[in-house]
Amino acid sequence: MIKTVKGFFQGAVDKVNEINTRYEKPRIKMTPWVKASLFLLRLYLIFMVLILLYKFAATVGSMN
Amino acid sequence: MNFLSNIFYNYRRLIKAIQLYLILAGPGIIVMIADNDAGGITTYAATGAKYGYELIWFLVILGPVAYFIQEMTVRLGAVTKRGHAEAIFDAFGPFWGWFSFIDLALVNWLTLVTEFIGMTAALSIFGVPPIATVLMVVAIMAWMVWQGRYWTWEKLAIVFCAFNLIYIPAAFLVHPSVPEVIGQGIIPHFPGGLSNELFFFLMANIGTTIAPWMLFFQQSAVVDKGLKEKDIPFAKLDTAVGAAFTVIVAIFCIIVTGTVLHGSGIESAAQAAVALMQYDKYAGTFLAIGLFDAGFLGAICISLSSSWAFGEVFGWAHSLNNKVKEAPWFYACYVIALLSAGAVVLIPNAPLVLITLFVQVIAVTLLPAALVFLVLLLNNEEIMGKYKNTLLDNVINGGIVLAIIILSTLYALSAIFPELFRGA
Repeated sequence: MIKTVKGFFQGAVDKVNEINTRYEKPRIKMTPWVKASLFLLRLYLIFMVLILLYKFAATVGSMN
Repeated sequence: MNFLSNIFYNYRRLIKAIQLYLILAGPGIIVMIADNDAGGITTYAATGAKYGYELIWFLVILGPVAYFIQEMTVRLGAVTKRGHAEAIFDAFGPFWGWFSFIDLALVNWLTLVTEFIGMTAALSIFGVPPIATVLMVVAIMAWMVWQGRYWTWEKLAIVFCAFNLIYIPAAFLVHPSVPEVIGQGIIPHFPGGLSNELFFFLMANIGTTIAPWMLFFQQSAVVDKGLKEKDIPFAKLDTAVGAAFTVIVAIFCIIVTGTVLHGSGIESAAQAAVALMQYDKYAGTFLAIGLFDAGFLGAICISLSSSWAFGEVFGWAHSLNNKVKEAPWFYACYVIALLSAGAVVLIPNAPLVLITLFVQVIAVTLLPAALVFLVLLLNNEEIMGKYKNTLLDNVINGGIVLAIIILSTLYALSAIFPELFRGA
């Protein structure tokens, strides 16, 4: 049983590694415009995650 | 006599053209009509009940907006022959690929739950227990893909799209005043000023018109159908026709609730259907049938968009032209998504309102990313060749994307912190 579960997770990790290797090199040319867009997108997503974490912490805090 | 024969000739030509269109139609018309899903119909019903006809102009604007966004996925799919998930992995690497994929899988599943909420609520009006609704829906949807032919699935989906037009006869049944509809609905204005509540309604309407799953669905469907570069003009026409129908259905839905339930504080389409039945039995029944159909169409497209994305990323066979034994994982994803989402609705006291709110917030984090990737891909000459965005495309689409990012972020903030905009 444990062997089967271990085999399943090992298979999944191998598959993810294979996908990561296959797409390792982004095909799109990293022009300044593309770089700036992706950088702003990262900032936006970090901002959204921080807000969600804050909201989660505030909600949990008010429940206690 | 000559005049009559000319009319008859033109009538026959029109019928032939419609028949030909229906043979070739899809996936643009399907994704656009499925855009009016259970959440969408609920939003339109609540909008009509709150503001009457006064926000019809806003929906008229949203039609072209949805078209311009979806049209890009048509070109991308036809040129690259890759689904959206695979295109993001290929162009931007594993980090952005996994981010988009996991976010899509999560938001699609949660949206699927909201479709089941709509479908079970609609059929419970007719006394159908939720478990029967869930099992029936899963069985019909499994049967639709069981045929192993994309074309068959597409035509069946178009039949369900036709039911979405049920709001048009429903509107005629409630006898709206046409001068009032035109007078109040066509000229852009903000009823009562741009308040927090109005802003929330406007954003909800945007959120139902442009959703992340639509981008992934249409691009994958274009690839699965085997559309090529030469098919782009027809696929764009198909998307435009779908966009027109989306707006028409939304407007008629607003007319129904705006005529009968204006000022009643209705919050959901199921509630509206029950209230409407007291006014006109058939109109209320049509609204409930339309809500079920909307949830059904949304569930078809959303579960498929997830299955296609899984197939593309993990390299499984992922075509509706494959038989079940040829693409077992693709079909397993499809059925598991449907069954698990349906099961959530059956859980007693499940936090369905919280799920609906969570969908909005998660969708908002994916939508800007998906739109940015779309615009960047469409501007890459190496990928798109002569089909890349023109300057005019970029002005229109760039403006739309920027506006959506700003407005959807504000929408997410207002959903997370309702008190932030209170009193605005």
